[in-house]
Amino acid sequence: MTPKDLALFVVRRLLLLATTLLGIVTIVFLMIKAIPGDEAQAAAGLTASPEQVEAVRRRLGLDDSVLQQYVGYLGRLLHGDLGNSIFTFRPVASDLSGLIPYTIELVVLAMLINVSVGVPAGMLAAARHRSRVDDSVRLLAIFCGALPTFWLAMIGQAVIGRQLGLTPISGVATIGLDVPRRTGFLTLDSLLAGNVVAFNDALAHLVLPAAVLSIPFMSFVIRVVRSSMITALEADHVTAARAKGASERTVLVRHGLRNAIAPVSTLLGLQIGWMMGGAVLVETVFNRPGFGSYLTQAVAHKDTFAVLGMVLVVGVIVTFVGLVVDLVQLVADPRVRLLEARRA
Amino acid sequence: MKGHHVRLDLATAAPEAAPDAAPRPLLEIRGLTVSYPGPTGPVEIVSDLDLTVGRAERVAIVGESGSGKSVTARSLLRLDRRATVTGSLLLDGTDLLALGEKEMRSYRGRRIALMLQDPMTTLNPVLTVGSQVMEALRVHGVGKAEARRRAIAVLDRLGIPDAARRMRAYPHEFSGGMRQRVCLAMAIVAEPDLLIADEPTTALDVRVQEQVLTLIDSLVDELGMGVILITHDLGLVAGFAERVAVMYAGRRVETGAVDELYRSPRHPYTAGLLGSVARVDRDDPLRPIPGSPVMPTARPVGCAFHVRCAHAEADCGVERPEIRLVGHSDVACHHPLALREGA
Amino acid sequence: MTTVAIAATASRPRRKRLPVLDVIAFGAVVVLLAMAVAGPWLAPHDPYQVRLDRALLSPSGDHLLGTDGLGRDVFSRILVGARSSIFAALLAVSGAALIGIVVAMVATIGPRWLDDVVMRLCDITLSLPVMVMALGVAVALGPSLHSAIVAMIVAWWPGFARLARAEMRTVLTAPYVEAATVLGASRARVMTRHVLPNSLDGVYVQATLEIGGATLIMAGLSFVGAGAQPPSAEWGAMVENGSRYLSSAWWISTFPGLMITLTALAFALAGDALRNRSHPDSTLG
Repeated sequence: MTPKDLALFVVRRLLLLATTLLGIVTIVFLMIKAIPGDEAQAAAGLTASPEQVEAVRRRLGLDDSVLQQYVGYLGRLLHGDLGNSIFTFRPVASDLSGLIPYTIELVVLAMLINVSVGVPAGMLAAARHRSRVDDSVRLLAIFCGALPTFWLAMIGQAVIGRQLGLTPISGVATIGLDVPRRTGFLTLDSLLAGNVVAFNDALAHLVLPAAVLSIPFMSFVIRVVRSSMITALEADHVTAARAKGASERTVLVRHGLRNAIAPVSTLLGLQIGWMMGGAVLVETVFNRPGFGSYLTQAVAHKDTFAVLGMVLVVGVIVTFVGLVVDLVQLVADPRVRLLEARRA
Repeated sequence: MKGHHVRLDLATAAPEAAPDAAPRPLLEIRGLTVSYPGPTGPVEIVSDLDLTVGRAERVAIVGESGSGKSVTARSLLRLDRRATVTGSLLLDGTDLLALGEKEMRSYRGRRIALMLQDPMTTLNPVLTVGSQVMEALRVHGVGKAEARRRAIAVLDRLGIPDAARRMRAYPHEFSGGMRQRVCLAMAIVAEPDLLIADEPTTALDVRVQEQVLTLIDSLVDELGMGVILITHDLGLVAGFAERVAVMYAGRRVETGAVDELYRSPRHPYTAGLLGSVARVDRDDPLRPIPGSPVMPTARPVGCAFHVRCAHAEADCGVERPEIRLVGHSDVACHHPLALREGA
Repeated sequence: MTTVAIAATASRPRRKRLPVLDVIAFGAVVVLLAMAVAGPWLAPHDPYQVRLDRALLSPSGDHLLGTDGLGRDVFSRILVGARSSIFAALLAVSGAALIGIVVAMVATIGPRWLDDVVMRLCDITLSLPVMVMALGVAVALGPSLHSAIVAMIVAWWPGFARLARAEMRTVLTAPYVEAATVLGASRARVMTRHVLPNSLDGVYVQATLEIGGATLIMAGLSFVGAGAQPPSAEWGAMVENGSRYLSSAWWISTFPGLMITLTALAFALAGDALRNRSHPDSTLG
């Protein structure tokens, strides 16, 4: 694939991304429109005075036609305006930009745990296909997928945090261990400040929530790694590699896992979005500030613009992760390159 | 070589084998039996197979699908862990079945190489051609630069144009014939003593088949390696091998020098196979063998072939015929065919 | 050398599919469904009656699984809650599957552009996590068990639409469909008589597999307050209700949580067994 092909690919993906984003925005807009009752009242909050409601009505142009409102909504979005929260009385966009780093830290660590346990477990099952080990790993995967995240979080918090005292019970940091806020990511900020104690503290607060969050997702990773590795390992090139004298390790990694990168990376990309959904539950239980707990609060207060703003933000994040996944596959798998080259 | 008793099937050993002293064959297979776990206990896929291959000798194993020929190929390298392999596989006097897994691995590719049927699937689609050829050297501890140099040399020798540049290409960028050359390069780059080619030309068109066989043929003389060609196509064997072993239902039914066997097959099955091959030296009509091959799970009592055999008599369904010398060939048949006139 | 003459059992060696486990899974599904139907009649106590004098009693003969903060019998509430928890998941999945099938049919019969539009819409919806999407719908419609069900249908139909469309495309190329077309059957008739009935097996299996996941999400929605509302005995809401007593009265949250796990597990295993039965060689799982 030449640089020109790659550029074409990126352009094509960006166009697709634009239509996806427009689609998400439209869905969110339709959801706002679907809310029964007075939208201006909803936007201003149930406690707002009639004058305040009128002001909001004018500002949002709610007396215009639906089409004009849609265009106006798009325009406000382009300026980064997701509307105001009726609970925090602040713009949703600025609320979110402060909170999202906490969630990203959680999701990134959960993803690391997810991959570093799920991939080897799936490989093990595939390497021992049709054995007792394979059956056990499969059952364990199904079991992991059947655990309710919020319940697991509560039990984990009670047993590991409270009873055994192995991890902090809730929150993101111990009070008094403050570091100057630069990136918004606690772990990163404490490292930037050179404060190892604060870093360890932030990590300790992250470990249990991240582990709990990762468990249901492992279920899928194990199953996809297992099945795509089994397919890869049945191929003749694996027999050929063994016939060359390659060790089982080489066979598993170079000829099994390497060929499973495309399906596994697709799954992992999707999971990043799902994890943001799972974070809603985990952050609520562990009382961590972040995207999820903000969302739950917003739902509890019927904070329409906060909720829909977040639906939009997650949609955007997921869409961009999808683009990254596509690029990874393009680099890692010549079959994908071939497919793209044919499509071009 | 006193320790190795020479069995009857060695009587027709390779004419080109070194004349000095008593030549120890490169590979000596004795009583090879391969079984797989089945639903009702182990199933024998290959039974009591004897075969020898000399240095620079070309031997063919011929049979229909299900005859156990491919299982034989894989068991020579001990590739399938589910298989139970018994008997002895002496390579240069070392019994491969007595080796530990790690030692066996050092034999694979370096001493015995395997070339598979379908070049489409034998090459890993996500790795470059070069890295796959080099892999056969790298896994045996050859340095990267050295492996690269030798891989390019072999690809070049096998007629891949611009080999140094094509090392970076992926399998899908090659034509079928070129891919099979890459597979051949993978197999021989470590200069093995024995090459097992499992239906190496089945997936190719006739013209390319010819080229690949010619290449293998020339390598035998250059490297002095022995070749076992595994095929269902007796026609392919004629211009290639010196000796042929015909297998049916996991057993050898006839072994002999290729012209001998061609001119005057002794086992009705061999004759049947020849009858279903178009031949330039005869104008008999093509006759497929009636019926279909028996599965190893359901071998009949007696001679496994008797249910399809036009010459079968009562004893064929009772007692299994042992291998014995008939004329110049080893045959497992109660009623071997007579010498053809004019042969 | 003995002659090998094994009877003609030419079946290929297949791994034993842990049939015991399959039986247990299907048995559990039946028991759970029975609970959902008969729960209210089986409950030993009134699941909604508040009796503060009996609050936070630990499990005993009278209250098998203890009582909650308002003195309600946890065992009775679990029995009664089976209906909302399991039926809500069943409803959400069957609704999503039904819409998915209809959309897939429209996309398959309709012109090419319609197919493209529908598939794009599926992609877009799938890029929103179910939980987040459902919270959005829940807040738009007002939090209740009904809006949670609607939300799940909105978020889940695209998965079924894609699956059904893929199966329909495959069936469309089958010789008997071609034969019917050649014989002059109308496109609508071909679709309803031949394609539809032959492309639904995969959808059924997928639906069974998804019921477990739907139970989890439904419970999660109730847990964060976007699903069943108090005093409903929905299991997720019960876990939430017990969360503040976890250190003193662990039974309030633990047992409903176990029930959710059991339900999800039973349906996942049953779906897995169904899939293995319909595609014995499938390595998915």
